[in-house]
Amino acid sequence: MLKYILKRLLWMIPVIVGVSALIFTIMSFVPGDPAEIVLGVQSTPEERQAFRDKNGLSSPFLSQLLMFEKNVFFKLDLGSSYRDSTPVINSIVERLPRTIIIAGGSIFLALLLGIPLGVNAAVHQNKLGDRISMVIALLGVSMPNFWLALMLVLLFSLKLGWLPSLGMGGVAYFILPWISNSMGDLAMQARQSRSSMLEVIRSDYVTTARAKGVSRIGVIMKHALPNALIPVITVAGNTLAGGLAGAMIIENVFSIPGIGLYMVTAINTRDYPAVRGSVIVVAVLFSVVMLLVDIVYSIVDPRIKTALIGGRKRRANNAK
Amino acid sequence: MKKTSVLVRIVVTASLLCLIAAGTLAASPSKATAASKSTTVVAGTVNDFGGLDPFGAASAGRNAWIKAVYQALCVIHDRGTAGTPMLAKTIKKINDLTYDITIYNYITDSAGNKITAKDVAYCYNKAKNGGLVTKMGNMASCTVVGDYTVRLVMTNSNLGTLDDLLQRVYIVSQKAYEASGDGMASKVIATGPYVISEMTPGSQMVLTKRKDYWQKNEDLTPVDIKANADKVILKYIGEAAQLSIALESGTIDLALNMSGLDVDNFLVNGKTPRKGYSMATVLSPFFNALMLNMDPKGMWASNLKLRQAVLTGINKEDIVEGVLSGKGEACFTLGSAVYPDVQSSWKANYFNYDEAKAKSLLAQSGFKQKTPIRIMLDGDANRKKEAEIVQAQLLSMGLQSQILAYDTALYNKYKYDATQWDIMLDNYYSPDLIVNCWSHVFFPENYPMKTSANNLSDSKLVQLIKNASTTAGHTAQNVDKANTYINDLAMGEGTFDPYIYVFAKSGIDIFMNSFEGACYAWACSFAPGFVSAAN
Repeated sequence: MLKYILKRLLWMIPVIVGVSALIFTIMSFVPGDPAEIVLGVQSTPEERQAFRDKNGLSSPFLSQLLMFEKNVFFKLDLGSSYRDSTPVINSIVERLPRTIIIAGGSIFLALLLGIPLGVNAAVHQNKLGDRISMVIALLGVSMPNFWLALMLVLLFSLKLGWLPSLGMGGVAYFILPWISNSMGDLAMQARQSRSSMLEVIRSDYVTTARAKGVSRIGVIMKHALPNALIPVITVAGNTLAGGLAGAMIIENVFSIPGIGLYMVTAINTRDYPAVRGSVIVVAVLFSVVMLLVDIVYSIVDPRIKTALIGGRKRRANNAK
Repeated sequence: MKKTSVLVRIVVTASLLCLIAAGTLAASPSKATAASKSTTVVAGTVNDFGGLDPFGAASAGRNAWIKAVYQALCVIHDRGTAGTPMLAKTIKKINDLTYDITIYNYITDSAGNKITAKDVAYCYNKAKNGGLVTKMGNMASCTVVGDYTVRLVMTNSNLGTLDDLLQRVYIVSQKAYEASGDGMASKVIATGPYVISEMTPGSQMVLTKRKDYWQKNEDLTPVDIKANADKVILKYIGEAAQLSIALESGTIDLALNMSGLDVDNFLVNGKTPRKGYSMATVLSPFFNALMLNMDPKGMWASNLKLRQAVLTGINKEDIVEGVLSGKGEACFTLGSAVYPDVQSSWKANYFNYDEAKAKSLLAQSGFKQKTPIRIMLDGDANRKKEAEIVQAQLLSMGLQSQILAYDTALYNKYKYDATQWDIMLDNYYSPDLIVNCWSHVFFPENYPMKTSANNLSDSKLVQLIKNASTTAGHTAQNVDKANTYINDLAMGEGTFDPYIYVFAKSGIDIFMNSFEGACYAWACSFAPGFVSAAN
């Protein structure tokens, strides 16, 4: 297993190199001039050209790319933002934990409520429990998260005064962002859990378990749910990885300066160093999350673990 | 069961870590647990604070704090007026292009460094060479001529050039700036009455009044720099609706730039502030304009009647109502009414809306439409609405059009390409006078295509504007001549100009700097017993 993990980590290196070269190329050829955006409409062509010369934007594409790759991989230097001249790595390191908190909390809430909702729907298929669960899921997937965020703020902050409307601080500041960011994922988890459970519930081994007299809870928790979790974990992993790219809308509504808002602002203002740096960091995180998802698979399903540990060890285990 | 419980344990542990992290990793703005005797004001702004570098690019967000932290030689309060000396003690004219400026000999920064002429010269040359401070092409040189005196030589003696240069460059200690290593991007050494005591980029900035501020004489302190608050907490609120919610819920005391769509929550009968709130409003110096593409190969350049038809067929009052819900004014020139050299007599006849006349002019033009008129704009929400209204108004005249809305960066590329648009919706600005706005829009040296912003090459227009832009030539008559000629060309018109609204809890007398069109939270007055949102 350790060997598999190390192999995956080593494979990340060419992936990150490729991602960095790709994002550099895309940003270089996307139309738009950062000089005019940074310097403003009153700047002269000479001032804009001086900006481009100072930031190496007038050099040939290949020499810019090589310089960039050298700085990133040998000096770990992601450059400085055009907008505020701060090192990109400092901005990302400062913002990333907030995005992780929002994404992590949202996915936890989505799993905590979505899986039971889906299981309940599957167990009570075509009955009232199923209908109620699926209506809740439908509402969750239909409501835009920015609308929900503002509605929650109006109710809990303005009318009731229970929770802060924006900003950062303790746990209370993250409750509304978590709720509004998790509803869509909750709905997806509920629907996925329901679908997976329905497949598993009809399996022979579940029927056997029931025939053996295992309690209903025991059948669901011990036999059905573990086998239904693989697609749920996949969806959760993709959602978490996507969330780490930043819940830009939630960050904007609640004024939580995370990486999503940073990236979108950087893209709109053609802040090339900030975009490149953010994409590279997100690519690394995405790779790590996918690796974690694979490890969780192996915990949940021993057949997958066996496939991961490799032929020689597997034969040795079998011989024992 | 065992695997499921392991998984559950992993999920629970991860969630606990998130909760702990939420409580510790996130920056925590502390609230005073008891009422404090010092005055604290919490202000919300929709503009990001920008960079801390004193020689960084200007932005709307920097206006919320920069003059409290860094100081220039002068500060301008009202548009079109001379600057009020701040660091400068005396300004002596040597000739039309040369001035000797002497600063006070007791200026110190927050690290105790004394500010001398060397620092002033350093800052001006740094601003010029750094590439991020615009309009430094107006400065030829800045040299030391005494311990506290510099000689500033300009490249031209156009109206407003000197005042602009005197207020544009922030002065810091050369030693402190070079020692910072990152251009003060992470730690500011202030020359103003406040220091940045806390900062979370993209979230919050706390300005704390300096006890060691160098200017003890209140009479010599410009009103814009009066440090009336002991502490200013600036909160960046990216979502405009959240700004009004924050004010209403008491999270902030002052909303620095509320959108016209949200102001009705705080107004009675659409005009006066609701009980418990105070309001200040100014017309924005950024006005919106509709420009016709005067490229010789385009549809407009050789057809005056067509141009007049379109400009007469645009109902500017409808645009103000539709875009701003009436929270603004229709333009009556290619400029904003805030510029002091705008003449009210121009209102009488400025492409006044007349649909019948527009249709008659269209018929006289002999124009046969082959392709839809391309209306190009950036992603601004107001201009998108404006585009839809303009499209409808063109349609009522019988002209088809299509709206091309691009993101800002792409728009900035296409506006210099005459083949990409027929009508451009944009906003323009002048730091002081309307003639300087026109010089920015029409002088060919400002654009890579070496024509005006809308591809017009007209040397007579350039000369008329130049005549009105000198100190001697800036007369009402000359400005009127230039305005008349611009109208006669009928190649564009100002459309709408929004109001800037600032709202505050009662107990705050809002201070506005008219030059920037911005509220300076620190310079506001606070009634005795004012209780801040921070308390």
